Amino acid sequence: MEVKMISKKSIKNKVSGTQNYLTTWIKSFSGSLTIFCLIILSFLPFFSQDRAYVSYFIPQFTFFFIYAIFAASWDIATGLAGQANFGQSIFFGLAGYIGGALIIEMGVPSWIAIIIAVIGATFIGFLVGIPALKIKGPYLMLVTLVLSFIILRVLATSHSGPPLYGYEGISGLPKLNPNPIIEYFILFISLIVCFIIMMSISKSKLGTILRSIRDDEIGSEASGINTMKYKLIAFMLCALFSGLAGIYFGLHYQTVNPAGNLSMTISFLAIIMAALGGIGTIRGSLVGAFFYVFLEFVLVEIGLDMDVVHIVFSIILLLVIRFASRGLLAPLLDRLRDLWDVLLGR
Amino acid sequence: MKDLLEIKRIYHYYGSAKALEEVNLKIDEKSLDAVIGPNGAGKSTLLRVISGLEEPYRGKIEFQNERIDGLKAYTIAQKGISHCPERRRLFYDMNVEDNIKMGAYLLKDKVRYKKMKNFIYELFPRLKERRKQRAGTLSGGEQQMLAIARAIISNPKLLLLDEPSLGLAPKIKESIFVAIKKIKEEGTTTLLVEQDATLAMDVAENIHILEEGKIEMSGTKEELMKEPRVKEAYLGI
Amino acid sequence: MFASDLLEMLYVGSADGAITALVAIGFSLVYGVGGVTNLAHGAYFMLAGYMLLWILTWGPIFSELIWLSVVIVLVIIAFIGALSYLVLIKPLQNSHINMILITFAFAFFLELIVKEISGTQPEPIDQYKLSDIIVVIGGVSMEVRVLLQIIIGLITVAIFGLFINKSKLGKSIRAVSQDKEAATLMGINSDRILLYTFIIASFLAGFAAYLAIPGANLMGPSMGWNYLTNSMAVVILGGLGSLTGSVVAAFILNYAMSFTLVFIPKGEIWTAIVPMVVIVVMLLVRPRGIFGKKELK
Ligand SMILES: Nc1ncnc2c1ncn2[C@@H]1O[C@H](COP(=O)(O)OP(=O)(O)O)[C@@H](O)[C@H]1O
Ligand SMILES: [Mg+2]
Repeated sequence: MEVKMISKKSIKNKVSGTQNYLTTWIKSFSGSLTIFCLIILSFLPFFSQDRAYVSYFIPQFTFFFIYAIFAASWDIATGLAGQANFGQSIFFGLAGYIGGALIIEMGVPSWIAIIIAVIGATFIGFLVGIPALKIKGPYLMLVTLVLSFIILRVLATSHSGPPLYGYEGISGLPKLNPNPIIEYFILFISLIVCFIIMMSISKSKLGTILRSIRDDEIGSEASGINTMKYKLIAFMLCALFSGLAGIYFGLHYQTVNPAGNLSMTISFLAIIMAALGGIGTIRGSLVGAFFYVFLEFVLVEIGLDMDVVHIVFSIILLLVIRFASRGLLAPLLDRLRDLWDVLLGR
Repeated sequence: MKDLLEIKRIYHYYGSAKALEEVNLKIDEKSLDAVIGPNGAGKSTLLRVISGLEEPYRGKIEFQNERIDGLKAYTIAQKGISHCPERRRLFYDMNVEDNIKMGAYLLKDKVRYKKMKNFIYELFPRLKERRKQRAGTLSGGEQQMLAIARAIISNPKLLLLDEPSLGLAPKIKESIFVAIKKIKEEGTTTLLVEQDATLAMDVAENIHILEEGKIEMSGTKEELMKEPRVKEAYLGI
Repeated sequence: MFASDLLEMLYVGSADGAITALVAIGFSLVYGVGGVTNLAHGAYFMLAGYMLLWILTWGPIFSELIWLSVVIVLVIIAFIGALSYLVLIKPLQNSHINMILITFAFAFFLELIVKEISGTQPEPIDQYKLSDIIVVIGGVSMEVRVLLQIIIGLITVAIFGLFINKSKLGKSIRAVSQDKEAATLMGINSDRILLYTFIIASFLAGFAAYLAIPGANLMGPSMGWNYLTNSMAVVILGGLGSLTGSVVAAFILNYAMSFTLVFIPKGEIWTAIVPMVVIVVMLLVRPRGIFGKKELK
């Protein structure tokens, strides 16, 4: 056991180290790009007072924030830890149900409902994942896939009203905030916080361990890593963040139901967004979600039916996995970075 | 004599770990060569590179004056190289006869197949007795016999044998080596890999010593016996 | 009362068991030979069912010559199986995770296409029915076509068993699934063998659809997932690499489901849970399955 002594000096070192890190980061390509995007996003809601702008265009970004968190959460289990997860809709949907039921049945304030929903989703992740402590192999993949159908089917065929709410689900939920601009900022800040946490996880020792399990499970086991435990941790983190995205999603639409919150399409969305951005990168989900939301926006605007939009995206997903497993946008960003270096005369 | 196989400056890596370094080797037609060396020297890797299970990182392999490095393993098998892998690797859920049939996968000629099968059953009468038995239920020696039988039924031009004596009792080892000699006498060029240097040196015409991925020495038994280092390290004299 | 309930349970369970066996054999074969968890396997079944429906609308020739349209559908589905291997899976063979993801994406794609063409409502196809006759046995009315479905299903499984155990191709398939590297050393092209297994697997799934669906309903474009999950449960229950295991497991699973349906209140909801329970219990208690030789990897 290593006991860390924290002296004032080491804290001071740490602080100046962080400062140094921050300044170099801001000067770097990804740093500048991030700051640039943050500034744009901060002022975006104030560019126009137009009703259509505020109530139609701005909510697209609300989706972007929710989806980005959701896709990144999938990437933690699948991209980082290599545990193909096809039941992303379970956490997303059930968190919505837990939060929704608390608000509707018990009048719990939204923010408490959100917290409990997230805890609930994490706990479901724990329950689903715990047998993984004993079983090796494709257990998680199998169980997530099968479980997501079962939950969908059980909820969809149940009677309406509590406890399972049937095919209609729960409706009449309050908005996160009636003002779309305030909702926008709540979600914007959530996005920033979630990504800081997820990116630090990816960069931390935990992230390294997860990647080593993904790349060589037997080897990691041989070098003394308790792979089962770490797989479970990755899975619970995945459940936590997708639960948060799920309850936000439910509150945004003010309703939770099997078709909208628990279907295969939901899991598909997480996968396509993460894959577009580049699986295993976490931050790729930001780009992937952005691309998804705005391509969808455009396709719907030109009059395509939602089902056709999904067909387009499933073809895109096939092409991306087949021909560009780094994601579509990582290569694009590389080009941009080269351009940036040229501009700075590096 | 003509070279059947010529290996020129072969390198191979597993990840970043070097397994073979600048290996050169020539095998004459109808000869029996042995590669000996300690565990982890790269003997199996050498055979795997020849039979195409591993693609060499650098270098050239010519078989009957035709380059075969970079070809798929099943194409190399079609050219007449048969590799009897380390630890036998039988089809354990199939019976003896089916294992032999799989060995003859490429042999279209029914008459030749019958002839080779007779030869094999003469060589290993035990296999004939057990031909309906599942390979997984055979004893270690019988499994090794079956592995060899499976490798020679296609009547290969070059036979690669990886540690046929591994894990066998001394008496069974000897009978396996008697069979190897007979196969050679029938005219099959053989490259044998062994840790048991004494046995290998008794049957082989040329012996190559492989250490840490490099061929350190080559020669006949008599030539190598003159080297004190070889005597000490491999024969324990 | 109880006796006829029991008979009903056996009738329903056997009918589904025969179909599940046909679908699961192919899934297990592809998994055993190539290590491919083909999540699009259930979609072959679904697509074949819908193609039977579509082909009827192509013209009077097809609704007249039933056998011709069935043959065409089976050829097309086998071709799609071959293509999904050659175009999507084979190029990704060294990345397990991408391989699984692409089969998922493909299954989803097929589902969406079918949904776009035919919508999500259940659709009956009656034209291909094997028989119209209904008999009453022991107080349970049974459709002769369902009894035929059970018998033909089992005969097909038996023919498949002969093929895999006795023919040269069958033996090569088994050789690759037991030890791919050793099989390659025999001169067997394992990629080509895997292609054949995809063709066989999709064909069997299509044939199962032909046996099961005419006379019953197409249950919507997402019905493939049910057959996929049931196949997974069968492979885990019966064990990998054992044909007998798969068949027995298919029947056990479906008897368990029909038991739930007939004897347990609100059984329609709870049958969905049976495959899940089977998967979890088997993985915890005996991961290699009842008859299996190796564990799932
Ligand atoms: N599949 C593999 N992956 C990584 N390293 C390997 C692999 N196979 C062999 N090696 C390494 O390559 C070296 C040579 O191995 P090998 O050819 O099996 O030696 P030998 O047959 O002489 O005992 C050893 O250091 C071994 O650890
Ligand atoms: Mg060796």
